[in-house]
Amino acid sequence: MTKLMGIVSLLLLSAVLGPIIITEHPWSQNARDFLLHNGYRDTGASNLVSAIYLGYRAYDTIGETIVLLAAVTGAVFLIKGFGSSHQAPVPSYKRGAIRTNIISMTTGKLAPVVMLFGWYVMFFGHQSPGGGFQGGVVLASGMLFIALGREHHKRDSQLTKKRLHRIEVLSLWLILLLVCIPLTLGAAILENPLTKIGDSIPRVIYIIGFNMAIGLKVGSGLSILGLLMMDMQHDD
Amino acid sequence: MITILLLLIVIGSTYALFSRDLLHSTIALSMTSVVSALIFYLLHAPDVAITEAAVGAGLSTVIFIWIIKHTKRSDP
Repeated sequence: MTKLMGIVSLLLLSAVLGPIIITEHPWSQNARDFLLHNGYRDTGASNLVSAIYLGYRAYDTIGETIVLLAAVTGAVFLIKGFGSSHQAPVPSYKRGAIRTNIISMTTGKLAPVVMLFGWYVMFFGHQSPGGGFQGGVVLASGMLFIALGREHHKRDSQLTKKRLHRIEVLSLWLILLLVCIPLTLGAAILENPLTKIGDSIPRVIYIIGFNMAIGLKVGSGLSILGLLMMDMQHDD
Repeated sequence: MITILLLLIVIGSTYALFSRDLLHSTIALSMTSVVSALIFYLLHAPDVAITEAAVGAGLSTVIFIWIIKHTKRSDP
């Protein structure tokens, strides 16, 4: 029965998608031409991907951010141990000798470079490829590099899980503030508010602010997730 | 060029599907992500390439390996 259903769905998929792949019919180019001519003037971002997902389609981006927030919240709920960052240190012989000097040296030297690249991707998302999400993920992997190279009891720094959580919540508030700012200036919600002021201030500032808030939020959320998974204890 | 890379993706994902060792299939999935990031870059979509490399090859591989460490390595 399952095999039959699989074969039927393959056939249906090829019947629906096949003509699209095989056909020589030219695609409609209205949207592409519109974005090519108006994208830079409307949003000020020369990277048109950023212009779309933070300018024309910013509402979808907010939804995407909330999906990530829900995912991190669910994982934090499932993995115990959040809030108690000062657990009893697990003896190193129990955890197995997976941390060697090579790993700690390599991750310690590599992490600042990775995090610098993350900040670059985040701040220059309006010009070069990248943006908030990508920069946040790269930033979080830099954080996890540092955490990976250290022993469990040496991993506590000024940036504990609680503070990371606080950063995440603050960046969510920053996003909501950026959503609401256009209303005070008489623009529609999520419309670039600097279009109402004039050309004295570059419009791209709005996009940079969004990139920064989203990047901080994604980076801190994924760092919390990774740190929680690293500290996770065996139940058995 | 792109045909060869697509063939590599097919081989990698087939191996990931049928391998009994979950660690091997995770590595094969990671290789598939890297190759698809390369394809995205060749098709002039560097944004998607960055995302695919960071999420597909980096984060999801780390999470899978972590889960394998906490459970059994072989697929019965």
